[in-house]
Amino acid sequence: MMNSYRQNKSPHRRLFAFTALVLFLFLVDVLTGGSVRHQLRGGAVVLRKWSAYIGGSVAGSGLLSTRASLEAQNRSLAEELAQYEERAGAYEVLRVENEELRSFVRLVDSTSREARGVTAPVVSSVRTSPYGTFLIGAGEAEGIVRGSYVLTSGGFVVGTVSDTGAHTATVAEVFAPGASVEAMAGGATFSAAGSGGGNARAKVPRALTIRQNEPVLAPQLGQRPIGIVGSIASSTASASQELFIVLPVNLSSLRYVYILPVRN
Amino acid sequence: MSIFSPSETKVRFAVGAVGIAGAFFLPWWVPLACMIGLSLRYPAWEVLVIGLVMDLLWLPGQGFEIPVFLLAGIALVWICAPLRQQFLR
Repeated sequence: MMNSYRQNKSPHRRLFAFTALVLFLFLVDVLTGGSVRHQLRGGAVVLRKWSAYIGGSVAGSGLLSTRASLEAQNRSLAEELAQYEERAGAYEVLRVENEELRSFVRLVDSTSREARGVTAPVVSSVRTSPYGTFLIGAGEAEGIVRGSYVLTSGGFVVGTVSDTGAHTATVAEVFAPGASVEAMAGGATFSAAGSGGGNARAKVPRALTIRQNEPVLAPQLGQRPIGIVGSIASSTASASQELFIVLPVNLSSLRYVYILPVRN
Repeated sequence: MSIFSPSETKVRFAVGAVGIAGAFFLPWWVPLACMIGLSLRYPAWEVLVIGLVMDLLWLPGQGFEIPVFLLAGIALVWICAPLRQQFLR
């Protein structure tokens, strides 16, 4: 009689071997300080360049020209809008900073904001990563170190460099899902919880006077702006109000970022 | 066989290829959907590869982090094995 529990063992053996192999590779990567992931990320950058080249060639050939032109127009308008929003946010940051500086009798000249940095291209989509990270096309060879601040052209901090390869680096977003950052607005310090995509929320006492579009600074990131107050939800029945903090630039439209080295 | 009734191997290859390419270029839920789809239908080693690539590419790298996609891939492949044998034979 044939055993009804008889199974084909071959696929399970193969699966077991692959499970052991991927675990081994992951452990090798951890123990060697990321040698496997740096190779893979280098490959991702090359793939990205090729895909951009092929996409440009197809668009340049006139194929799908109507769609491509509409997409290009849409993209350029979205980028223009994002730039205006960011400029408005940056203006508000400068205005508040100017007011604060005027209140000092003696202004201490600080050069920390003029530290030399590197401009690097963003080589991955921020929507691809489930961990709130993205890749930039510059690494240790370009002088980038872990912990460096990653800024937009308007001076907003979008993240910090969390890992570096030879010519690539990983940036962990300030507002990554599940991340928490100490923030400051309206003269009070509070904890903001990131929810990804350049958004965060925070609970502050209702007595605190905070306006919409007010800049939000991060003391741990050199008092630099990390976003603006997008909206405020408060109820008379609650002792606290909820702030929705947004980055005034669309993360998906970021093409270049400015990397500022950390001062020790 | 017509092209409109692709063989199981072709479907598996296509979904695996989309999953691996998705780890590089597409939103993170696309590789996850491919992992779930593959593990429900096949004893697919591709699920483990997609999980490993996702974690190696996108983990922040600040100390030890839990490789969520790799662990999810292992869990999917082995948890779905009895289900596959029970219902899809």
